[in-house]
Amino acid sequence: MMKKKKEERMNKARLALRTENLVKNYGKIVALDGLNMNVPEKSIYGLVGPNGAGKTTTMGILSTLIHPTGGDAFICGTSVRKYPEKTKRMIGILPQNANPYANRTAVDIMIFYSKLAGIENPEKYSHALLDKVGLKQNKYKKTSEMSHGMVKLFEIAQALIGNPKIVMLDEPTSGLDPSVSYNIRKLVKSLKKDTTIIFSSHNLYEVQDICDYIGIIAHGKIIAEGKTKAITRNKSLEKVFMDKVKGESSDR
Amino acid sequence: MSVLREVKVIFADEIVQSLKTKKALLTVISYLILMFIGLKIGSYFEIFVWLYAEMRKSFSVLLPYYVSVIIIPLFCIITGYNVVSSEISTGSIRFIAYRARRFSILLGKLLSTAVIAVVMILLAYAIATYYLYQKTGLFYYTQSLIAWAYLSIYAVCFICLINLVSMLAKKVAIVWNLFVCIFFVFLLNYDYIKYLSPFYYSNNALAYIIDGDLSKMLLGMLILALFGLIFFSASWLLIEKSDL
Repeated sequence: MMKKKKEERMNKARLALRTENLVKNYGKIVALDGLNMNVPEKSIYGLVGPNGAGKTTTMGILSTLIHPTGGDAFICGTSVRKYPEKTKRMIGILPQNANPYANRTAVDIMIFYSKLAGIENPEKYSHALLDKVGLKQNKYKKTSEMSHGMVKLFEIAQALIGNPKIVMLDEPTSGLDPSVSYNIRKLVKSLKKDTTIIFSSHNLYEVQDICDYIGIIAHGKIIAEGKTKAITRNKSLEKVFMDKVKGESSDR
Repeated sequence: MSVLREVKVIFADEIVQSLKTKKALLTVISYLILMFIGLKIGSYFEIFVWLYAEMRKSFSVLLPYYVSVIIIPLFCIITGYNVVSSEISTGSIRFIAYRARRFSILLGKLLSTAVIAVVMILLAYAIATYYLYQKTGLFYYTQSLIAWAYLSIYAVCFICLINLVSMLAKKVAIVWNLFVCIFFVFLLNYDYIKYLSPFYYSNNALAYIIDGDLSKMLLGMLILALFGLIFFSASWLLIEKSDL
């Protein structure tokens, strides 16, 4: 019994993120219905689900932008509800439907965010980060003058400020052409050695390609979770996803 | 990062952006134009003021004061209605809300708007007082300074109110702000409810400037500051409780 408990504790310690019965209601609408999610350290975790399943709400709660109705989430063992200011320092997020300041240059906004994150020498740091994501030639452009792909790269760069322990990317490749999507996937893969990544996407082929773990979410619950190979078992993720989501809908 | 540091970063960024985009400059110029128009119109009424010897003496202080009382709320609506609410509607607030406290964001942004307003009123008041001094030969340094200080608190109170209304109304913020201001003016017609309108206390500084009644002016300052604090606290509660 003691040994089992110790083992459980050890497993929890290796998790970068876990949620416990996370609930979010918008009036009568239940967005999250007791969501339990476990994200291992230094991995890419793919969060997939149909529209309205609760992916964005989950990321919103994890980044303290949305208040949960019930349950809790733990980032590196720290409660998001009890210590939001502490957990904020551990995360970076590319939120959905958020537009960066349109009339300012990418580097100008990055310097502002870096100052807010308490970075020493924010100018040098911002330039280095923008160069790293591939915006060296375009960092002096205003975000309103950038292409959709460039804006996404900028948004990824801002999520990396302060070397967060967890980076959450909410549909980073949506609406992008194949070459930019490919570059973003390459960038995400390269980040894995330093950080844990939660990657949400409707493109199941790219999720299967880059993610070590997958969580399938439907109706505000995780209906399948595990290593990518264990979930797919040599099938395409699309097939598995359709079976699981269909099964979940017919059960309701 | 401490609250103070967060506020400092947000405040400094807002000020720099206002100067860079020339928003601050445009604000000051438009305010001065409105002030000048107000003075020109007000000058026609000088003949009536002439009848009251005491008021005649303070005319160079009073006219810019009256003009300011009328145009400050209007100006706060035009320039400050979207300081926080536009960040919420475009979603740009999400990039900073997971780095800084929501309280710091609100305070930093409102402080920057308040500083611009206070400087703007100072400039406008100084120019107006000089203009009237040239016309009438009367100049009251202390009274003008007191009038400016009072109007600054009055402006901060309205900045807090307008920000609160904008956060509640979101898309049609200007219309709702105008509606709320008209509503407060409307309250002045009622004997007891008039005390609930910030407009009612707008002329308390005159009690000191004309009659030397310091206590009435200080009470007015205190009540306006209290109004501002209530409006700010309500905005804070609203942003703290809402999902971004």
